[in-house]
Amino acid sequence: MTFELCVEQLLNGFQFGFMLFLMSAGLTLIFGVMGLINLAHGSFYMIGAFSAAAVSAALGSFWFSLLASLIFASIAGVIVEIVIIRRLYDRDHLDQVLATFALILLFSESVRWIFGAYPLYLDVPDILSGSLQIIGGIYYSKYRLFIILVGLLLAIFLFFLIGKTNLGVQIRAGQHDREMISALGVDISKLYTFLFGLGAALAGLAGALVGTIQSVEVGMGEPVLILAFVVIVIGGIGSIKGAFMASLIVGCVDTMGRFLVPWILMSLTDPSTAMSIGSAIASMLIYVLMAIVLIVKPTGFFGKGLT
Amino acid sequence: MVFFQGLGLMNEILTIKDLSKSFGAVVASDKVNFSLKQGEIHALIGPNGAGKSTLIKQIIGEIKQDSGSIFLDNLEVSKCHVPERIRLGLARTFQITNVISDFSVFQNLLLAVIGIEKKEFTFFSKAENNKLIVRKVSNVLEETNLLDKKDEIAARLSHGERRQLEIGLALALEPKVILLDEPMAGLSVDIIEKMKKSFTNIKARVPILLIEHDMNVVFAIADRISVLVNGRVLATGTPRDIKMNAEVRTAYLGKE
Amino acid sequence: MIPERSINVVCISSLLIFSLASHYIGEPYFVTLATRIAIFAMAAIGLNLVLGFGNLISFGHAAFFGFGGYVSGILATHAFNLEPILDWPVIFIGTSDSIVIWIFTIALCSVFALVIGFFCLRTSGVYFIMITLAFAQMLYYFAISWPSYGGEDGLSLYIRSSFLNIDTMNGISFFMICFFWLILSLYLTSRIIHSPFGLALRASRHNLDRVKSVGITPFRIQLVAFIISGVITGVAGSLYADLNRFVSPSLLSWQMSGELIVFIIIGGVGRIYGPLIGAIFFVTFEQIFGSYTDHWQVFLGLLIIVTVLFARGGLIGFLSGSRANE
Repeated sequence: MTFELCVEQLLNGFQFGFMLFLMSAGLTLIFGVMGLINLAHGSFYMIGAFSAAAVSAALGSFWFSLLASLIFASIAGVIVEIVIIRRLYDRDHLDQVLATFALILLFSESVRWIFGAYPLYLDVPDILSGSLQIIGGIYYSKYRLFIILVGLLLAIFLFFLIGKTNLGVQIRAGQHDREMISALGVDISKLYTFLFGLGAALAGLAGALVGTIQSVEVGMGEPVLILAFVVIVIGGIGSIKGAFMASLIVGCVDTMGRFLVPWILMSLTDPSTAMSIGSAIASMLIYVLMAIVLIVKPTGFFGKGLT
Repeated sequence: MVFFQGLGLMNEILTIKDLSKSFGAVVASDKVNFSLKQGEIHALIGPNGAGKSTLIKQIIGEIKQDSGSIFLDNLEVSKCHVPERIRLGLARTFQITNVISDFSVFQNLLLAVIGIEKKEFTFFSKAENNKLIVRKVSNVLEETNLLDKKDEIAARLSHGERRQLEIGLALALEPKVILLDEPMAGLSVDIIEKMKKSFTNIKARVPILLIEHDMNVVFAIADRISVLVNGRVLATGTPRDIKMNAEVRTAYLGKE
Repeated sequence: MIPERSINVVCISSLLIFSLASHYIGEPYFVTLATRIAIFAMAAIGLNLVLGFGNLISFGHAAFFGFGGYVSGILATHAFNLEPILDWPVIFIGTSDSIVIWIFTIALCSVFALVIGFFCLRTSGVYFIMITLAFAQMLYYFAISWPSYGGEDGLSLYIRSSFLNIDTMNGISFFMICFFWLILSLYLTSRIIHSPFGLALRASRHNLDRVKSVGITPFRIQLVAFIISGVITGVAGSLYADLNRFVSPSLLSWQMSGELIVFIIIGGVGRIYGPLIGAIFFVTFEQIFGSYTDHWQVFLGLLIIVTVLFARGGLIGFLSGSRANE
């Protein structure tokens, strides 16, 4: 194992982490402010990826496809919020789980209906293809660096939005005391719709960005959604800061685990067994991490005692 | 187990020794010493923010004290969890009525008797078929005048009836101590009179630790009163002593 | 309005009559369908114990369904191939005897549910939902990447495990075995719900402080309920493996967990027979709409949303006009 490989895997971990952050930021805000558990968040990720693929096929522009993912995912988010989600804020978690589960069925099957069952592929634009030399003799994919950069910029944007703007004051007020926002004279339903749309847009962008690395297919959103759940459980529900830290931790632990565990096992047993057992163990690592965090702190790193 | 025979504290059912609790810089309980004796109603009064509810939570076991200890019938319970303390004989009512609202009155009391009889891990027989349990429930129904409301869903009871049930739930535990947390809040005058009478009946069996805002009630039925100010017990004594106490007058009653 | 009890009796007897009739007119496909209903219903009955009566929304019960399936699949495969599972301290080559398989399933599911429940029940509310989901995902990915038992492709079984002298490959005989388990689990849940334990469990739905204040530790009640629940769902999984003679990671998937919840909600939360009615409805819906379009899940999604938003008592509530909780 070389140092170069280690650095590359670590960067992959960061890239994965930033992508998870785009997913979990919306999820954690929606839960923190509206008290809603949204299983359909992964559908926005999928919608983002598919609309990017469709626009890219029609116009051939990567940048337009990214824009399309933001637009279509946020439109889908806003419509869903107005038609269905809005009626669920006052319901118990069970109703929320079920209705948003139904939304997954609805979205996944509709997308399959429109686009068919075969995966689509997005192309990396010329400017981002190939690798870039970073420190020393280490080369790293330009596109993945681009994802890290986008994630970083959006993280800064979100921290600015929540920490420094008037809107952020309302969001934070909403997290602490839902009645307070109405006392501040804020139109809650507009705030909610905006937040839901924002979360959906971030998820959609994540889908489009990752769709270029992987394939775009129905059901791509849910595994990421579940990882995002792990992230916000570790980080503490409702906390953007927690989601940010936990995203990077989960991204790195998962990526490094898949790389290191088989390698460590190889010193104990033969390579093929080490690979298979190692990958099985590595796939469980982040869940073990989550269990440990919960034993130490049942509400996550930055969580309040929410129930 | 710690015994106090030699100290002449034999008839103290609940003893609190040097209990302290701070939240950051705020001292909520400052070396509180307090006792509840057999056959008495001991009222705990004090202005808002004096640390009454923190003290109660420590007695019940909802929050842990920083230092000091709590003895229930000469047994140290300072480290026990809430359900353990209940099983050792500490019963409480909630300040805001807290009954199982989708259960009937009967089912609510059934739950209490099941809890105290340690029957909650019985899986196959109906609780209604256990004669001992049903008899105990019936006794409480009778004592709390809820016999004709037996099958009413708790959510449909009147406020007064729910308070009755709340007290019934404590009695059903056949406790050594009852802690009543503002039992009179929101009750009408005639119900308060009835409650006062029933508390004097209960204290013959079980001593009562009473937290109450209504000073008329406190001075009418309490045998002893402790005044809590800024987390400290300012004075303990008979109602007459407390009325005369200069310190209490300036610190608390004097304001009125 | 129809009394709830009548709806229950009609449902259970129509399932029996449907499968017997299908058998006698020579439609084994429908017998299999009825068997699937019975097994799904049983799995959801297990979940309903914690979800419906304890308000513990487990979104990871597929873990038990799949775990039960794999336990029986692995035991049967080893027995068929004569490869010992253990060669120390005793040689154990697995088994194809249903009774032994069930005993193993029950024992192992209890331990598994104890471990998962111990972690998950430290949390509540939305954390609980996400953590149960995460644990199920953990098992799912483990099953996919562990190569010994088929990994992603799943594990095929050659024959169903044997039960006394009954020919389990005969559809109607196997149905009767599953039907027996269904009745047993309905009976057990109904006894448990009305027992002191059930009373404590139902009390812990919304009001943990009150439960503590009568000397009961809610965690213990919930953990025991979680174990019973996991075992019932696990045995259903074991039967499902036998029915299809196939186990795959899809039994452990989050979709499976979601479907189990759907059965309960369609039937009506907190009703002992709710899961059965939900399963009957779900499988029938799948058959009817599935024959028109491959995209029937669009309609299922719409139906669930409408049920959640407008018919909160589920089908039983709709038919009987009640919102009773027992």
